[in-house]
Amino acid sequence: MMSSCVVLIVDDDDDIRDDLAHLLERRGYRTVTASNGAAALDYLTTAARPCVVLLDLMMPIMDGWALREEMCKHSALAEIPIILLTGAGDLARDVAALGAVTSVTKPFQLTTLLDAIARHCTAARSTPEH
Amino acid sequence: MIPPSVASSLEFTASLIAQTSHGGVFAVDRALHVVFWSPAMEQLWGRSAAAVVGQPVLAALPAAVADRSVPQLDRALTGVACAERDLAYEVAPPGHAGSFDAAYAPLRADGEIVGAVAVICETTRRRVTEQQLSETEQRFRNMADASPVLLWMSRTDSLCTFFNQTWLDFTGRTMAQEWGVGWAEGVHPEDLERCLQTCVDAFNARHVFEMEYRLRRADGEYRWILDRGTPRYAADGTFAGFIGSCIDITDRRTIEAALRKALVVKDEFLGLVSHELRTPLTTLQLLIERLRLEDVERLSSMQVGLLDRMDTATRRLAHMIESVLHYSRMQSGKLRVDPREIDLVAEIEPLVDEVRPSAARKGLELVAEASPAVPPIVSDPDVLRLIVSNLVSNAIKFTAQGRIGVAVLHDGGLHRIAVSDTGRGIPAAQQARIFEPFEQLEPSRQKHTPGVGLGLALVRAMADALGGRIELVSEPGVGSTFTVVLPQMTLRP
Repeated sequence: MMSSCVVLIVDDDDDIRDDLAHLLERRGYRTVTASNGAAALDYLTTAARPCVVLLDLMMPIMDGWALREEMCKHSALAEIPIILLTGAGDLARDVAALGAVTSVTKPFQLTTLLDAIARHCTAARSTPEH
Repeated sequence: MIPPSVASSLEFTASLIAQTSHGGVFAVDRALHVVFWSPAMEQLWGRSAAAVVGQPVLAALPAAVADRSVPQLDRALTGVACAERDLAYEVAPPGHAGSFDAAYAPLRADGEIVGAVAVICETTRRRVTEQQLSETEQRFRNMADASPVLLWMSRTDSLCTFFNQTWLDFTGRTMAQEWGVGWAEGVHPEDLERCLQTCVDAFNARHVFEMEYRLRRADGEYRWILDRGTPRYAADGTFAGFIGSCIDITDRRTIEAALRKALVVKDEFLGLVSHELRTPLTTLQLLIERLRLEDVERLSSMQVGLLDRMDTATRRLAHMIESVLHYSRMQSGKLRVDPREIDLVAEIEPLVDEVRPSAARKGLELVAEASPAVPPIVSDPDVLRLIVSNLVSNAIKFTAQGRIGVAVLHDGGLHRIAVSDTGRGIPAAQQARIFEPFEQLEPSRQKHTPGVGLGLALVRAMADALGGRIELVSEPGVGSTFTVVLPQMTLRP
């Protein structure tokens, strides 16, 4: 039985997005992916609210900062915990500026990311398969 | 013989002159006999009044002086006052030479010329001083003109009254053109106001000043000048104006600008490269996880071993990228330090747990220990974690067998983190070098240990950023202990 906990993965890299989705699904999460901020916003404003958003910052069309700005305009979306998936830059500053709960630097250990999701994704999820 | 009343009148007048004169004074009657001889005359020629009064002046004065004086005294007796400057003389004992100024005037009683008075000023010392001054002045000018730097000097009213030849050659102008504030005509119009204001402020405050401005060279090109001015004082401590020296720093500024640009480009390049490297590395790591998760039952133990090695290599690559990036950030001053109150033991423990598997793979014992009741410290936990993880991964990397220790200590009011190993140790001669960037003990051609040699350079720079330091105790063949000494930092409001 799949859980009601949805993780929204927003990253412009196809491999990362798909591999991450696959691994999280195997750990019992439902995942939705978006390749840029605009696609993510589309999902957020039309579908069920995800428990947590994994957000890359540097993306074409609409980057992570712009998406966050849009999310803050809707009180329901502003509250969704955000975990930054960042490649570079000033982590502490970005986390603070975006109101993210935490950040995970690429390349990351899967366990580190799973710990972060588990901490901030409060909804129940199904038992992992492994 | 002259009547006594006239003689006393002569003596009286001459003594009055003597009291108000710096020189020696003597008076003669119309027969050129000495009637007055002041104490200063005694000092000048070594003959007392008692010995010379009543004697002919020719006998009273040294011959060389008398030769010059008698004709003038004769003139004075005809009613003509006269004076002579810098008369050279030589008297016995031989070699005693000098010069004097002399003034002669007729003395009258009841309208009649009754005698003459002479005032004699020894000028030998003044002449020597003047000569010395002129030599000093000439020496200063020679030095100033031979100097490769541009020199100027101003008076107390801030007008410039001297420029050395180097300055005049540089601007291609004359001293008369530069004199006063003429020099300002060569200053670039955009710099002029700031330049003059700096001068005025420094003059008023009598402070040393330093400024950079553009000055027109003889060929018309504006060159950047670094000008340092210092107040100068006379021997008695009174303010005498300013003296300044200037050097052409145009080339230096060009190089500095190029360097700054190169640093920006390097930062941008490193940022870009690291971003581009991180993405495929992340994919690689996720793929390794997928392989492990999905196909682990179908994999042979050899294949699982290969996966582990792929995993280690990927992590090492990630660590190297981090090191290069951190080093670049430290170099460009972009590493921010954010002090917070932290529990050092709680910060360090997870780091030790993280490296436990890699220590175990090499068969190394990993021991974490702490002083009892380590008080909290105000420091930056992120920077601390980077320091310790670098030291610990270094210890594991360079230790083939034995033990790695991580100790959190508190004594004497200072927190210390000591990372010790039983590795090959570092010879004393090389202990300073290993903290230099891109330095490793192995020559690169025989290199067996991975890494770019940034770890310890980073550790030292980060310890500095925390206000602390790094200490090393090492013995070849026994092992090394790197100790980070940490002070309490100040919490930001």
